[in-house]
Amino acid sequence: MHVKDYIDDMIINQKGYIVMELKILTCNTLHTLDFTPTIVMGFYQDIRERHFLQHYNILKEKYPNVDVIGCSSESNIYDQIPYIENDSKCVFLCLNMQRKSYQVHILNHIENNLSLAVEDNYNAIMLSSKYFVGIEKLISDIQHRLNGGNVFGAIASSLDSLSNNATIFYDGKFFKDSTLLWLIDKSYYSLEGLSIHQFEPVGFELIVTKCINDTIYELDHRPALKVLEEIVGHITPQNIQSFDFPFFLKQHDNVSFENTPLCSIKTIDSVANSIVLYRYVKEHDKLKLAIPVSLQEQEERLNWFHRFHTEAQSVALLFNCVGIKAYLGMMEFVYLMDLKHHLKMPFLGFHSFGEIGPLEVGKKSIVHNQTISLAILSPAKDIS
Amino acid sequence: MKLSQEQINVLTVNVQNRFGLSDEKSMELVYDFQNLLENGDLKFVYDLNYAIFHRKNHRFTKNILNSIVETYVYLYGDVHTKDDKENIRTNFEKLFDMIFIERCQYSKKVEEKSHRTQKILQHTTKRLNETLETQELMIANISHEMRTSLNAINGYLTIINDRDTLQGEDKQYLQKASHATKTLQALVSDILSITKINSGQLEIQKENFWLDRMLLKCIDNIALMLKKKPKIEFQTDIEFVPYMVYGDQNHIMEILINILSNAVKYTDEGYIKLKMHTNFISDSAIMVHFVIADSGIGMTPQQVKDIFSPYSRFKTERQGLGLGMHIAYQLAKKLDGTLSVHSEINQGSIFTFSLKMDIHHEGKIDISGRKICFFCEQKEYKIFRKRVEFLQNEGANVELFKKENKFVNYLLTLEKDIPDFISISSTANGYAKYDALIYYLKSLPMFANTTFIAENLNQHLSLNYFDEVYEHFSPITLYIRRKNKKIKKDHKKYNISILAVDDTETNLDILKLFISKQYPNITLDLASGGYEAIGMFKIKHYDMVMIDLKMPGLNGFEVFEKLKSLGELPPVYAFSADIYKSNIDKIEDVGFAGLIEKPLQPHKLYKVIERIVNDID
Repeated sequence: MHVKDYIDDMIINQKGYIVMELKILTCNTLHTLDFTPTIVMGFYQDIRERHFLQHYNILKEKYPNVDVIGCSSESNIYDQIPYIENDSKCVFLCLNMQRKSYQVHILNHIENNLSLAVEDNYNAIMLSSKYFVGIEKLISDIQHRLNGGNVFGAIASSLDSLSNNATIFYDGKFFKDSTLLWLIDKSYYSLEGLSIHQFEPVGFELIVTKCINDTIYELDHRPALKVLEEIVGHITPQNIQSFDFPFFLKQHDNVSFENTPLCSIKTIDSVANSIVLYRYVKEHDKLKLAIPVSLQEQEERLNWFHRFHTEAQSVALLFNCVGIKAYLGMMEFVYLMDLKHHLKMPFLGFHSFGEIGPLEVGKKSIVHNQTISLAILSPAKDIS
Repeated sequence: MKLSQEQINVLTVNVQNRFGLSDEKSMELVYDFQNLLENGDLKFVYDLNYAIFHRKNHRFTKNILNSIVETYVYLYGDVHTKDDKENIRTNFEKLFDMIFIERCQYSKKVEEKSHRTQKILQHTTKRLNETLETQELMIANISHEMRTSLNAINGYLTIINDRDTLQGEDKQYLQKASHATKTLQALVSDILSITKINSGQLEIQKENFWLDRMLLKCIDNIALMLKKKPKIEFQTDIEFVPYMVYGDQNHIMEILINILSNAVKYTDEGYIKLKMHTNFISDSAIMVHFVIADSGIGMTPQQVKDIFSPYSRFKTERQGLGLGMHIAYQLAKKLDGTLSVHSEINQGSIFTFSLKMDIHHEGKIDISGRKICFFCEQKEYKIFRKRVEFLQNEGANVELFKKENKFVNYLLTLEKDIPDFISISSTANGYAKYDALIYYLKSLPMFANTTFIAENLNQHLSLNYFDEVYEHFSPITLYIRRKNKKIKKDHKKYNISILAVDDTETNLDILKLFISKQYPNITLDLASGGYEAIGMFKIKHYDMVMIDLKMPGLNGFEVFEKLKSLGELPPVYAFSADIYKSNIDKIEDVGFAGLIEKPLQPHKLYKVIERIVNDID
């Protein structure tokens, strides 16, 4: 579809951008919404599903045509004090977008109905209820079918990382084994962004020699946990809770470790001497331990986001790893304030069990941990 | 709790004075603070936290802390009810916790993370070092084997060349093969040097030596390279040092030759200047500064930064791997010296190598009473003048001539006080003329003890009758010795017996060819293994034995032990490419007379043989 075909029913602002009404609200302020939204994206803690559903019903009652999508979270992020939501509030991004400019799809992991006919003029927000075999392939397929369109998103999270309570939400239903795909027409709205992390690879390659799914039993033909503890010392439960020892995971020889995804340790088993990751691995995959870059470098990397400042009425979606929250503590809201100061746009997001985005602008998106992934949704400039 | 207008005014003035803010901004801050007190609104806390992050200034943070404490102390003293006091106390604790305690907790986390990172890095470094050691050992072994093979190749090439039987293209091919072998030998030698330095195997071998003689050897070393670049003017400015110094001459030479070779390599026209000056740092030590400047291609700042790193060669069309400067730098460090560089692109480079050296007082130059005659018609007359003054101060009787007719007249009319040295510095045609004159003078008995020296030649001339020819300068130490008529050694008289044992046939072949060429009457018996050698030794008397250390079956050490058990031994030399300190120590410990290195260097071998012959005589 060309811009000229739909320009008649849209409002263009003085700067030439299509007007996109938006508001970020919490469950306490949702009643103040003063325009009719076409789509609402909300984040909720897993224990607050019922609460979220009530808000969905209220929204639907008031705006019957609204599409509501959602995702469970360990905690939410939004651009008002306290920035990191600790009081189990749900947060909502209410948008008045051109209805024909987007599509929402639910893909079921178990039924494996991942084949998807997509047009090539979309970018995508992808929210998955959990990490599943084939998620990397799905991201790659989608990006391929979107003709290089951008894909950003996250894996839903829950208060307990070992539970299976994370969900996604669409059209009044919660889904446990599904992926939600929100396709947004590039002609109307742009979606740009970047994933950054604060680590660099160090040391020797560790080759996965025995594993099942997300559990590594042997590295370099030796018990995996023993190998790791020889390098980092004894691993405590606190280390696991703080996501202390992430790895760079290399699954193809033609990429450097710097361009491979980071993955965190979910848990360890000192009896089986095994390590469980937040993603699946296969034999012959290679790992390298990740160590934090200097504080100065960390701030420089955060500044990479400043390039996304735009004059258009935009919103920033933030998918931060739960590991980022554990590490940064109070500094996370300081960084968020800094981001707000430079981007000059509202933001919301949540702490996830995996983020989807590229490590360089324009490159392929990957799923990884320990990142801050930013996606800026902006109306396109009228080119008619 | 609500602040009174008076309290607001006091706080506003305080903020203004402390932070130099405008009225409006100060008031805004105080209202935010009031909102915190009254409604628990955290905007004030978040803004302060962001300001601290944004400023990144300890003084600013401290100022904020002081200001907060002052504010609460003031308010606490200014309110009267118990509830208000409690409210202020609680509020202060909350603010302090959110701004400072949480920041400290974050810093603690960062510190813990840093400790963990250190641990990972330590482990990685340890493993990396282990891997490097293994790799170095592997490289050393490969290099060792390569040396052995190169020994054979080089030896055969030398022999073919000496026979001079090849013609036309074949001769060129032989030269190319020799050249390639030398390059490979240099590379292997570089790799072994690095391995030795890195593994702490480098031996510092100090000796007494003359600095100017050492520099001449360095210049000799690059003379061939210089000949290929006729547009380079090689200049020297060498301070006279009238005593021997004590230091590791070989490694100092290696450093200087590396820098000089690089200068030639990266200079196509202009100049290369070798300068040496010294200054006393105590009665017994001097600081020696070698400066090598060139007008070559120079380096960019990044290249300057990387020049001493391994494999730093930046112009791929030039020869070499770029290990030389890395070796020079490492050697300089091992010698407790400093090596630095200043360079600008297209302007050339200046390398300065400085090190402290002890003075060998007994090796002071003694030339009192020597009669030295100089003739100099070159523009370097001033430099010559300095040398003449120095020699005169040291007690020499010096004559200096600038005019040709006076000088020739002087020589031809001399009847007594014949000079011990006649040094001539002339033009190209002049040297040829004086060569003929010297032929005549040497026929006169009174010049029998005179040494004729050609100096500052700056060109490659074939002079037949000068005793000493120096392209750049003659060493001052030259004037110490008196001329002795050389006794030409008659190598044909050398008729000793040598037993050589090596499992590699080519090594024995080469040894035989080198020895028979120089000493046709020496009997050389060859054994290809330990048992064979022992058998031969039992039935025949030998004046010298050479044993390869690395052999299958009995190794060199075992052969030596067995020979010892047979009775009195002649000098037994180890024959090996393994020149590591540990090996050399072991060779000395077990009682070998010495080590003959592979690849075989004929002049070193001949020295050993002559020493043995002299001892027998």
